[in-house]
Amino acid sequence: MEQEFVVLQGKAFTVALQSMLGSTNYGWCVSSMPEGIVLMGTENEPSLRMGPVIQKFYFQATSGEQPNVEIKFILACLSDLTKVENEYTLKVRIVQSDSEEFVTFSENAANAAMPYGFVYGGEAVMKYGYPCEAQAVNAKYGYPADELEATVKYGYPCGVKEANLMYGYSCGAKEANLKYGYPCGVQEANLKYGYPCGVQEANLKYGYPCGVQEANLKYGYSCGVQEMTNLKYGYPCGVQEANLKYGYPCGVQDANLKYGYPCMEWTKDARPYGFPNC
Amino acid sequence: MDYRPITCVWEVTMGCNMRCGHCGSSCTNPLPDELNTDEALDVCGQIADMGLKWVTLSGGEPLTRKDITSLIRRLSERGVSVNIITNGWLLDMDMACTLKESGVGTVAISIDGTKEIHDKIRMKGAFEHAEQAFGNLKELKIKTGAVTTITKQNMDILSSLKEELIRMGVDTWQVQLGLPMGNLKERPDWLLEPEQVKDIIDFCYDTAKEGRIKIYPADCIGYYTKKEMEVKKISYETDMVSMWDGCNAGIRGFGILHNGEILGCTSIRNREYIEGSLRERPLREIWEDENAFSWRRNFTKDKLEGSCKTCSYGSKCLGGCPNTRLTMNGDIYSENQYCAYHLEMEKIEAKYSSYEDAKELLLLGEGLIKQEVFSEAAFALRRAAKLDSKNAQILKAKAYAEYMCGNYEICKEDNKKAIAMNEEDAYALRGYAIAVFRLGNKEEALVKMRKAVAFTSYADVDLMEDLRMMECIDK
Repeated sequence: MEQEFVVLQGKAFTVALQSMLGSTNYGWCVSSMPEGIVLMGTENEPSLRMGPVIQKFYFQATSGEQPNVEIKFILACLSDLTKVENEYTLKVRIVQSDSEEFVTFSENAANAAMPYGFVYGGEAVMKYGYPCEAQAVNAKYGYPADELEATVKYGYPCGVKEANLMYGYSCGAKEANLKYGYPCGVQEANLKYGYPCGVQEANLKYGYPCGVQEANLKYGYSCGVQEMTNLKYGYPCGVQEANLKYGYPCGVQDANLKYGYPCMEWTKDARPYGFPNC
Repeated sequence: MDYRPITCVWEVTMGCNMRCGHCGSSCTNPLPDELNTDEALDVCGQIADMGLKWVTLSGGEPLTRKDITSLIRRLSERGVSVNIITNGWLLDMDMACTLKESGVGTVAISIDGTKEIHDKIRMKGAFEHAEQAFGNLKELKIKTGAVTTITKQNMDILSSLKEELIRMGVDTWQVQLGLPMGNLKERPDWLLEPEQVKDIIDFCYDTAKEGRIKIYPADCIGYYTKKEMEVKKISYETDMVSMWDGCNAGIRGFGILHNGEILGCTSIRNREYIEGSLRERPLREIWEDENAFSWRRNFTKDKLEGSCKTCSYGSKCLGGCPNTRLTMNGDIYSENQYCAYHLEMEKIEAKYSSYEDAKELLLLGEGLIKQEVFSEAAFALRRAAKLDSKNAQILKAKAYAEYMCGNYEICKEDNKKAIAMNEEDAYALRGYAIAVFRLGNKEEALVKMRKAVAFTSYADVDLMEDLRMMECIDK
């Protein structure tokens, strides 16, 4: 497992690796670091629930003399580092900076737009794209990046504290047009209870077809796509096409199973609750 | 009224007892239309009424005005702090005492070099007089400053000059660039080379770090180097110094000419920049005129030219000192050759122009984006887009970098090209929508953003959030 990272000399960069450190005591460690790279700190970001921990390693390239270097990590038991379960090599290409140091500024960055002089505090702060006040701002146009190595994502929450999230979706008290995680605007809203039900794309609605003609789903399984499973919980899957009921094949020729088991090639020897006619 | 003045520079006379080789105002004799004492005292009252905190009296040589102490007294009695810039020739002990009694704040003396160079630029005996003047001021405990206009005449002796100023006990030192105006326009060989600005910043930094004299680079020197920020922190004795926010002309300050004409800055003195005359209209009326100082108050990044137009700092500095550009190129919107970051951009552009592999540049650009080095990322990706103009990934990355540099029109165009390659590209649609939103077209932005949301089957929380924000924000 290895990846390449391009960094500018003198600027910090982050490597985020996922482990189950909390429950297994196996975590990522830096096992080898080249000259010209310094480790500035580490941080573990625990999962909100039981689950993986994101281990963040903060580095800086202090020299660009060696343009191509590697940082190696091992996933090891922290109480016995000889027990190595995995390795990760990050190739780092350092772009030499022969420049003066300048103060970072982007009118769209979260930390930008301090007014001149002493901090007056009256100016609106621009955060990733929208002029807004601290409370209203949430996230914006970011550059997509691999989650493991990302320091930038497809739109950042501008501050965890200010974010107005509810059921996974932003939902301002007054201006919100989202409800229960889905937009509930009068005209635009196309969702209800968890599944998109747009005219063309949508196929699901809480497991029931939500379009008369297009809908060919029920209970969450697509029906009719070739590579998908062909069976379903035993309900007819379309007015005209449906041929199954409670475990009967839904295609005359290709149907293979009964009683709700997928019929895929690798299961052809299976004999689940039905009659093996694969 | 959105703008509140806190300071002004008042050229109280064009008369001067010296004929300096670099004088920006080409001062000689007092001009006949100079404000008389009554008029000038009335101006003092108007300045105080406007609530200004500081006034700098300059010229010409302000001490050649017989009523100068009356003006200082009127201002200081009304709570306005008065600074004066003089060549020091007339500043004997009597004058120093009179200034002290009138309530002057800081007295700054123009010093352009060590004795030999100063006298060569100004006149024989000028340095000796200045030195004596500093002595008189120190004796009376009046705060002193030195002002140095840097040209090739004195660039190499700044260290020696610093030692002289420290020896004379000068409290503060302002350094500024000599620009091709007034007498200096006739001496192009005196003008600094652009790259020497970095040397000046280095010098200021080293001087500030030494801590023996407070040094203040003028607004024409910069911009946004960490060193200059550090200099400000040290000299202003605060950590709360933030980034320079562009020229103060017409925003927080203005200039008054000898005849009562008002302009944004006394250095930008072409007729077209005269906002009105105090002989015709009161100061407040001129300041609050909605059409006044429009060149500055309506100045936006998109009006800039050359590399300043796409510079990531462009919306912040608006090209830096407008007078630098006016005097160098004849146009306040032209690019600023004396900007340290301008020099940096030339270097970065040259660096990436040697790359020939678009994919490599994309990787570089993406890496730089992750490190939030947006300006350099934009240069890498511009080169990549030149090499491979049909690569949507490059266009989208470039669009994002341009966006973060505040180049919304370019961001829009890049995304437009990416959308032309795949009209269901939600990321490009999103970038396009946000760019046009920033350009002020909310309707089009909403249409595009809704499209992007639909193409992702309402599964992208960020996009939905964007849409919600757009709907809520009244651009």
